[in-house]
Amino acid sequence: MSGRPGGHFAQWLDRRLHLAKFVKKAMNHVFPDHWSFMLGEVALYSFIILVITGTFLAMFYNSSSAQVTYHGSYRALDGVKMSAAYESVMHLSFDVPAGLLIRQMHHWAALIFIAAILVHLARIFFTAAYRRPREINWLIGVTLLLFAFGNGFFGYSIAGDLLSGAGLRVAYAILLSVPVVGPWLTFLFLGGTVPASVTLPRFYSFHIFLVPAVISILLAFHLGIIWRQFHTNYPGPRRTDETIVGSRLWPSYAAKSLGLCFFVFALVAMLGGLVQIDPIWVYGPYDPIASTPGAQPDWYFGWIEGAMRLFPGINLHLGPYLIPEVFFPAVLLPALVFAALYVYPFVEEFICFDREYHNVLRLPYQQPINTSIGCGFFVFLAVLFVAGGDDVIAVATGGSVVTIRLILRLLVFVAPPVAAVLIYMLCARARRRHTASHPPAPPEDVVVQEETTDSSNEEVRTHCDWKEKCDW
Amino acid sequence: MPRFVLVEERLKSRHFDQEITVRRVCGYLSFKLSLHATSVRSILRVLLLVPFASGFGFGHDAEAGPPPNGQAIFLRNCAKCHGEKGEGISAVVTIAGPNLQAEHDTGSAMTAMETGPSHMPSFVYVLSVPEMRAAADYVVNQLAVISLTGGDPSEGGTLFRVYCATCHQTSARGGALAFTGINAPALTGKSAAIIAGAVRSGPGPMPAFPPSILTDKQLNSIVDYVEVIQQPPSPGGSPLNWYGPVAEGFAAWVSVFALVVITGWIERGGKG
Ligand code: HEC
Ligand code: HEC
Repeated sequence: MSGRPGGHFAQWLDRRLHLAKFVKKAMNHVFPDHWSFMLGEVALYSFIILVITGTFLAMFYNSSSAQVTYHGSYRALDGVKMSAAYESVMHLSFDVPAGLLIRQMHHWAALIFIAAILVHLARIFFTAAYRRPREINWLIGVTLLLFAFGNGFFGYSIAGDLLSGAGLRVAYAILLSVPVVGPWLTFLFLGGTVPASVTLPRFYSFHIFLVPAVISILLAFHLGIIWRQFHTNYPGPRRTDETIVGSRLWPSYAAKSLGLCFFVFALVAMLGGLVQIDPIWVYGPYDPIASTPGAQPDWYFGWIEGAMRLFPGINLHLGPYLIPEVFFPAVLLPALVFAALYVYPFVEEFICFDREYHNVLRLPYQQPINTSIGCGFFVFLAVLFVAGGDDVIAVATGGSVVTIRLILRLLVFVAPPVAAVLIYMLCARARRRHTASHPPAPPEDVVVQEETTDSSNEEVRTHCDWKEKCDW
Repeated sequence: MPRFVLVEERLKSRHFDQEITVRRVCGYLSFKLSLHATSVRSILRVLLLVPFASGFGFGHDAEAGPPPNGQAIFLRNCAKCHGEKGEGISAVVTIAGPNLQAEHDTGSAMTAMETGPSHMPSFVYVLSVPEMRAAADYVVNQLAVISLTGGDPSEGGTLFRVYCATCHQTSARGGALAFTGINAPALTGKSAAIIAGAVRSGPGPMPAFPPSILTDKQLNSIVDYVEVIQQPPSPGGSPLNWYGPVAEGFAAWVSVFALVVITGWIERGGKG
């Protein structure tokens, strides 16, 4: 009998499920080693934190917008009328043990989740990992980003404080601005004019059921596809489109990934405990006639907010239809941005007549056009992003918001092309230097090593055979 | 201990006269020097007020004559900034002197004259202590017509979010006014008297809220609430200067950057 702890149980399981073969295969799965391949995992672990902390929050949250009078621990709101939703979040923050900590961890994890998705996306983009055969995963990834955005907004909105309400009002205006179907959209998502009594319950069910379920399913596909297609490799010795060099899932990769997981948890817990986020007691309950400057959305909507601030007041009349100014920065722009993300791999494939399968990545300098397009695009979004906080910048620096806005309006046109051209020149120079110092070597015979069963920690490579796999 | 008490104790000492003469000179010099140390913006502000400063009457004798006349002192020294009835005056870019019609505390009036808050000059080297006291009494007894009697902070919070937060932000940390390029100031560090006076008089671009809009009780509630929100509880940790979601997003990106660095560290096997 096996002397290992748990050996009996493992055998018991194996006799019923015949897992051993699969587990052995899985443990020997080879992952290439590179720090940038772990960025997506940061997002994955933040998502897990979101689910865990969110479950705790859901035990105390009440999505009703019925008016109640507050008599909790926070004295400065004593006797104030507010929605039951806001009251439940106040109760959670001030009277439930560790409630505030968990709430803050949830919010921080959400901010980090989306930031990590973007960093991951940037890695994929700037190394051209989206090329055939990985277009599907690119599409799933962009969709995940979209849903993460949506769920962030739902979560931000259901606290029932002044900022949530302000956000809802803006969302209402944005949806209403869509030509023809605008009013129906507002009924679908918001239940009519905000704050309708059904808005918060509807958002809540989107926030905790629908969207997380969709995200989980997409995530499962995302990871499954990575598994099936094997991971991409950076160019390097012995790495070709047919071989993959890296370390095995067990124990090497699992240990790295678990370590990262602990770091993400630790960081989020630290932020949740030490840095205050969304102090709803200072914002106060939502009141339709109140408003405040510095009422920004969470950061990931900053670029849309900034676009709305920079866009001039142009209303378009098309026959009987009015297209109000918010439509352009808040509907058209995001739609175009996401559309561009969705079609990018296919456009590139089409333009380059590239029908090859790629498992070796391109470094940013090896693809100057891609890199410069990407950088120009990020600079464009960054300018919009800064514009979204222009009033806070004005107050913090004592400057004038009018001047800042004027400068940003210029920058939004000037900075992206300048950045793109600059990056193109840098990349092209780097590429020239590289080809000068590395004349193309004569093609060598690639000896494909058979997969070894030795699960030691050292670098292994495996024949990834994906061509056969993908032809089924 | 408030500083004006110290002044009164020093008054009892025999060397006070010599001391105050020396300090008048030093004070004048340090006032001049402090000009260089302040930011460009405050220099502009002070320059704006230099014409007033000529009327301050350096070297006025402390002891001669009948008991000082508070009204005369106020009109000569203070009215240029605070208005003849203490109603406050707005200069082009900022408040020359705030409304004083809610100043019921001789102590804080004395402190103001002695320390010179914001761009108000210190009067220690200009007025004798009896004169300062006379001016303070005049402010408190004759000019202070707005009653400050304590209100209900939670009612004040609701009113504050409706009437004031639009410009000053719910956390009272100030906000930028779109289209004008002017920033509403942070209300931290403003005394109850200044807040109440500002609400009634409406300095600069800020609207005035007369009793027909905010009753005395509501005004007091707002003042009480502002005093709470000047130091709001931050049970969640560092409030990031109350900058709100912008600062939070910044912190989130710093954390993600840290995580990126950590992935590199893990990949190198925890070395270096
Ligand atoms: C150069 C213009 C100027 C002059 C002259 C001036 N003040 Fe002021 N005073 C100010 C300003 C500005 C403030 C507001 C400071 C602040 O915002 O905290 C102020 C504040 C005050 C306050 C309120 C302090 C508080 O925090 O409640 C009192 C009382 C006061 N001044 C009294 C006087 C008296 C009495 C005189 C005449 C002896 C005088 N001031 C002369 C500009 C002036
Ligand atoms: C339309 C925007 C606006 C509203 C509404 C507003 N303020 Fe102001 N407030 C300002 C501006 C702008 C200033 C600065 C004036 C200046 O520097 O000339 C100011 C100044 C102040 C000051 C500083 C006065 C000083 O002497 O330093 C206080 C206190 C104040 N406001 C309180 C309030 C309160 C309380 C309310 C609500 C009843 C309120 N404000 C409503 C714009 C506003």
